[in-house]
Amino acid sequence: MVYLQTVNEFFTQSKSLTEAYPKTTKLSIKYRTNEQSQNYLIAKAFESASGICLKYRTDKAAELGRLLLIANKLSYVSTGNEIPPEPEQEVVASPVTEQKKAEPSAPPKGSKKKKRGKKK
Amino acid sequence: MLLSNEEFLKKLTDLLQTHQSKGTGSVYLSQKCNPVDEGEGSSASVLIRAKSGAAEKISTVVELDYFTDFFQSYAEVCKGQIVGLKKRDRKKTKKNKKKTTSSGHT
Repeated sequence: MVYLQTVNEFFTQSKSLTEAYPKTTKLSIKYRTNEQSQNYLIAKAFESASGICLKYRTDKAAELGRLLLIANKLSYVSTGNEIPPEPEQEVVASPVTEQKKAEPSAPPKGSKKKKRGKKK
Repeated sequence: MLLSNEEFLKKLTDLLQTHQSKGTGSVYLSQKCNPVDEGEGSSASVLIRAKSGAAEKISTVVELDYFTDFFQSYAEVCKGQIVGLKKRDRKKTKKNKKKTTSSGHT
């Protein structure tokens, strides 16, 4: 099983999968803490009829918000509705005091801009 | 157990707090199109589940009209309780134009 590289790639592919199989696609987010007290997230989009499975793994705190946005958008796609054109203010409008992230206010677009790739 | 949206969010907070106190393990959050047909004319809905260990399983059904409100509260609960992930590392602001995307999925 191959992990996808970026969260935008996971979104585009899982969106296509949900559009193709809206009834049977299932999205899971796993929040794992192992014995060394390292935390990470694994997002998975799985479709049982065709066996397609898309996975994405991250340990960044900033990408949790993006994964939840993806879950929100896919809930509209799976019920056969269009994704409403929400601006990116939803992330900025609810600041979490624990995670002080300075995200720039992106212009309102349908698709997200690709940001810097991760260096492993 | 099937809960209402507000009770689901409260139970989710407790579930994630229990996970933090344990110190190891996994929490599974999943969503799918609601398989139960609720009769003609009813709006579409999504089934949301959360699970930690073998004992604690909670689920809720979110109607189409409450998607935005529910997912805002859902995101707030998850962002507040899912701690311990790495912060954004400081990198150079120069963008890496060469990007080789090697994507593979079965």
